[in-house]
Amino acid sequence: MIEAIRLTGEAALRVLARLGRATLFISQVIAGLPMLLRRFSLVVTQLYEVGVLSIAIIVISALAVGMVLSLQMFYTLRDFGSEQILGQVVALSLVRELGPVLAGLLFAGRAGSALTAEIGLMKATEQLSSMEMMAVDPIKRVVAPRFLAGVLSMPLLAAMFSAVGILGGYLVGVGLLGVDSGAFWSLMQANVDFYDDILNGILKSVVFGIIITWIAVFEGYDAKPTAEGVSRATMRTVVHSAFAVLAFDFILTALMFGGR
Amino acid sequence: MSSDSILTIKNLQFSYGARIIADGMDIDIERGKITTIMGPSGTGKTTLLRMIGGQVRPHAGEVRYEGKNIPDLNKDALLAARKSMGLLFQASALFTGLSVFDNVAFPIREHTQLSEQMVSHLVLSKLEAVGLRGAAELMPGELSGGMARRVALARAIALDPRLMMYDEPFVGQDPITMSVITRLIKLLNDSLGMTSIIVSHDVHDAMAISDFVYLIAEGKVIASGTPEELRQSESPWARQFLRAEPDGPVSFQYPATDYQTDLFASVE
Amino acid sequence: MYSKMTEIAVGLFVAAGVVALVMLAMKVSNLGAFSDTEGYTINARFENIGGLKVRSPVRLGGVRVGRVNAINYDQNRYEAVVEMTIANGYDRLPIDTSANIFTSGLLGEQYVGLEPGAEEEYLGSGGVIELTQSAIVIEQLIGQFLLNSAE
Repeated sequence: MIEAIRLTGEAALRVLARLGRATLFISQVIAGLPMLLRRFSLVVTQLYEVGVLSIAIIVISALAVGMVLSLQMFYTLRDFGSEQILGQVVALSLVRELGPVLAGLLFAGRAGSALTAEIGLMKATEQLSSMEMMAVDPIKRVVAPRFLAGVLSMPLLAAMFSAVGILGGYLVGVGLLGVDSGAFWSLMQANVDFYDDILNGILKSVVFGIIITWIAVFEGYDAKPTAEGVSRATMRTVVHSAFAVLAFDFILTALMFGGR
Repeated sequence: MSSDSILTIKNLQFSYGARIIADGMDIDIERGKITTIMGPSGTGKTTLLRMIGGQVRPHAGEVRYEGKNIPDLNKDALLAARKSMGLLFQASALFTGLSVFDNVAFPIREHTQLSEQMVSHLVLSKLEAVGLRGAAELMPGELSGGMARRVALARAIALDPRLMMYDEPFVGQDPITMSVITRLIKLLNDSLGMTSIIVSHDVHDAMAISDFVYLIAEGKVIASGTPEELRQSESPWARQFLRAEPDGPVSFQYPATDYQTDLFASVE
Repeated sequence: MYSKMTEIAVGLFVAAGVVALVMLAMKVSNLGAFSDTEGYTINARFENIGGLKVRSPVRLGGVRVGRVNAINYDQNRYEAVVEMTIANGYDRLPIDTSANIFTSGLLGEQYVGLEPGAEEEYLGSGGVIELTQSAIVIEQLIGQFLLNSAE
């Protein structure tokens, strides 16, 4: 019994220590951000790795999600004779929830895991260590540009997800199922508010971007410098990011849309 | 203590838990000379280099480099000190995402504002020094282990360090590469006026080019002197190590409980 | 260190993200259709507003001309006060204009429908519509229907 309490306490302390390390780490990363203004080319390279290479999976998933959403909603709405509000339903679900959340989960799987593996491997092969010996701070030179690129990419990717998803919904709803094109767009416009829905959705994606990239770069930097350590860290990035995105989505949704 | 030493280590203490790396170690590195630190594997020679570079803090003692005590330096002063040091890692540690050229150019681009033309000039001259100018456009993945080590060497000397450290430069190399690297170390040391520290357990090649040798075991310097002096040494450690005898003060057996006790313990 | 191609790809990425944002703002949301700033305010009093909400549309002959800005309850007169913003282009609403709360479709959203009167004077900013008809509340209708059929 006492042993069980002791083990629980130890585990709790380990989690706290990790959280502390992660916080100290991110503060060092943030301290390294101003330097990037003078060397923005470092960020551009990472925007390519983190953002551009994620476009394909985001666009394809968004198209599929939008089409399925439209198809499913259509048959339910038709039972109530209100299939005109299809556009509104698709747009609101995408803009408020599915866009930021699904884009976040995909981003964690595509870009987050790649970031962790890359930084972890650089650590395992002593590249970070040798950089230190060349009097270059790897947190500023390697981690900070990747962090900034992740935070900048996420809202853009989430916006793309929502926009492409709505187009997918339009293709199926209007093109295939025969909903009136005018009603589709006008009811959407009438009921989607720019500030309450779109800006809040973007705000969500910014928060997700910070959290996912933070987890990814920290896990890479904190990984055990062995092949097994790096693969475990990569797995943890995906799992922890997914949990964090879902948990924060709940909190943010309650804060943003709970008041009505 | 020599009057012209670039690095003085005094009463160094360090351990990883129960594993003792340094226990009152004293080392003196003379400027312009090649000094080899030798010892059985697992005695923490790499950790010693990391303490010189300030990546690992000793628990006690001084690491005085050009008059400054490395463990006392703040971050900026430490970075400044490192700019005049070069360290050749055992694993080469080339940046896998960059070409050979960009790897060698990395420290130059980070620490100077030179034009691209000057950078290119410098990089090619360093690559020429290690005989790999033709490999400039290759990626690290396309290099053999020996070539990668030479590229790493070119990168380490890119900013003309005053102190160059080599971590096991001969490990895992074929005899030809080994002699190439031995010659390079000697050549660079003499032509660029560097001071070199080689950490190794390879007796012959290291002894051949060294001016001075330290033999360490169990966290202490157990013998030191010129290669010739060491060969004449009567110290049992030095004799065992230099003549590669399987048993002696360094035991073949990893410390364990009595063999018979172990055997019968499992029967019970 | 990085090529022209990388730069172009990143440029395209950022441009596509911005296009997506603009599309969300202009095509999907009400930002492009109507904004609160460019309009004048009128009020209307209703006994019952049903399911009318802030940002519900205001229509004139079926054409969207504004939106509901705020909904309050006047405790002195026991009436709901609906504040509406009407786009500046529609500034000739006669003072005897009437306001009804309609439902688009059987279960659709509710909106304020304006019906212009015949007076020569027009409602200005802060004007009050006196002639109003409350929302049809379906529960009441069903209740009345049941009552009638029971007799």
